[in-house]
Amino acid sequence: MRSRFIFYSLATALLLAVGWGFQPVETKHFFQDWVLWYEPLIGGSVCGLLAALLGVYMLLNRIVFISLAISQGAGLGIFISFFIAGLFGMSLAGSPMALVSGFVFASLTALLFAATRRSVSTTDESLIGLIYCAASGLIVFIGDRISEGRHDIENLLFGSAVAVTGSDLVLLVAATLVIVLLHLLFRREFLYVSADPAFMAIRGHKTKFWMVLLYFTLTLGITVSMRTIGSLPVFALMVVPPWIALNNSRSTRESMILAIFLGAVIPPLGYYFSFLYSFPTGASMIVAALAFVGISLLEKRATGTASLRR
Amino acid sequence: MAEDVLLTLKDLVVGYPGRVLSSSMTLEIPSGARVGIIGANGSGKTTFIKTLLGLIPPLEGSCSWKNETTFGYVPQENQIDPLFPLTVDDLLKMGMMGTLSRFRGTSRAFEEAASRTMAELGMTEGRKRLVRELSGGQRQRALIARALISRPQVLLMDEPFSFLDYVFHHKQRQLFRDWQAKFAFSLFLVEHDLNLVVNQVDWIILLGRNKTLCGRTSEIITTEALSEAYGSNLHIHKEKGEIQIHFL
Repeated sequence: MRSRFIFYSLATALLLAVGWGFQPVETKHFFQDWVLWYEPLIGGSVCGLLAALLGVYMLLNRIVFISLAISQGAGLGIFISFFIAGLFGMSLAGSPMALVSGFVFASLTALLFAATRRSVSTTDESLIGLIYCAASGLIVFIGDRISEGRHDIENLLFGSAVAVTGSDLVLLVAATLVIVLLHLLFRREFLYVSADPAFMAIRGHKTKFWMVLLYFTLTLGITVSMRTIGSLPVFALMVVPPWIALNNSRSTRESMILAIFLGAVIPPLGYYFSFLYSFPTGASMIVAALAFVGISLLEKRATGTASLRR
Repeated sequence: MAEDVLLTLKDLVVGYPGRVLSSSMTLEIPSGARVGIIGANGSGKTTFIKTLLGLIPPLEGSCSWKNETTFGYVPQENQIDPLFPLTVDDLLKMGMMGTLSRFRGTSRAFEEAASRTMAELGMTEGRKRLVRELSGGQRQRALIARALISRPQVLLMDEPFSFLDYVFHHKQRQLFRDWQAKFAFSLFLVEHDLNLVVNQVDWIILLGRNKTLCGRTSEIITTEALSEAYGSNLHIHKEKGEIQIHFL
């Protein structure tokens, strides 16, 4: 595990050095102006580690696209809250009600999936697709009837990776602490119920309860991360670091630690390259994540050769 | 005596909605019993086991276990997705979840139970090995270790020897006797090898094509019943005190 950790730390340093080599002046400005950047940087890093932690379960349960369905569910909740507020002539600008509504609808989406999964004769992918289609269709319908607050809705739905405020950070860190604590305490329940629910049920464990709690953490994590850095970077961070970590992994603990490490370093690297080359920040994060995919393929090739030599 | 009854089947019918797999069964099985579940392919043996375990609801009737019965289960195939980087140690922890500390990786009780169970199954090393990298036989032993580590009162095994090597396969009858003597569990065994199963169980549930028979082995294992259930002519005779079944 230590060698993989060192390998990916060196790869991170190498990517920073490449940026510095090509853009020394901009790099100097980036580090000099840290006061302007530290809140979005910390926010991105926290979102990344949170998304990576949750993403490991998503990949293991083979439900990668559930995060998109949950995001759409959250979006539907936000649209519905603005629609109802509009009916009564109220404004939700600056109010936490829209976010609460988003979280409630995202939770309902996750609950619907958890309740129907394995009890209906369809695959998880089809079920996720159906939920995604239903939420997207309703968003378009309701969105057509909303006249005010479009800017606020977009802020809530897509976030602004460069405009993370102190209050955003407090909410994100609080939610992350709750989720990480739950995952530390119930790590075995989440893992073993995901791996073999039948055996765990036979042994007397409440498998439905643990799956619902796991989905609750997934929903909370997606809702708060989405409004901080946007849904596409969150999706990328839920997929790429866990995929790299699970590839070549020798234990679940190793996968979790490596995924969290990569999740935490990829968003700041994205900010860094976005600053150096004036790229959109979300897209830079995704490109930084993809750079690590390339590095992981090199790692796999190297370890494969080494094991053949042994 | 009523307190000795481990499992009560009352007019139990198993299957899935639209697909009935057994006729009605009524039976009381005492604690400590060894029960063989036999039948042709597709007769519903695994469905029957899953119904007993509460994983599938009965189509009709009921099955009830004695209060606070604990179970160990060895599935027909490995149910764990190879994507999970689970080690043999993780499997053993799954079997002993309730006794593990939330804050520490292991405990003395777990370490002792794990070492003992691994030794009993002839697996002296390899607890750190990934389950997906084990051979079929090694994986089956690891699954048996997971079922046995918590010393359950009832052990249900669904064709547990299909991947095991010749030596282990033929040693298993003695192993079961040793384990039962040590751990005093009741055994429910699904097995295709009729000669292997009928000589080590005292109760039989025979899932036939038209009729389900259940009762004492000596009452159920007859040429007519087996021939009807398997749709083929079978011959039964005794050799050195053991039942021998041959397909004609």
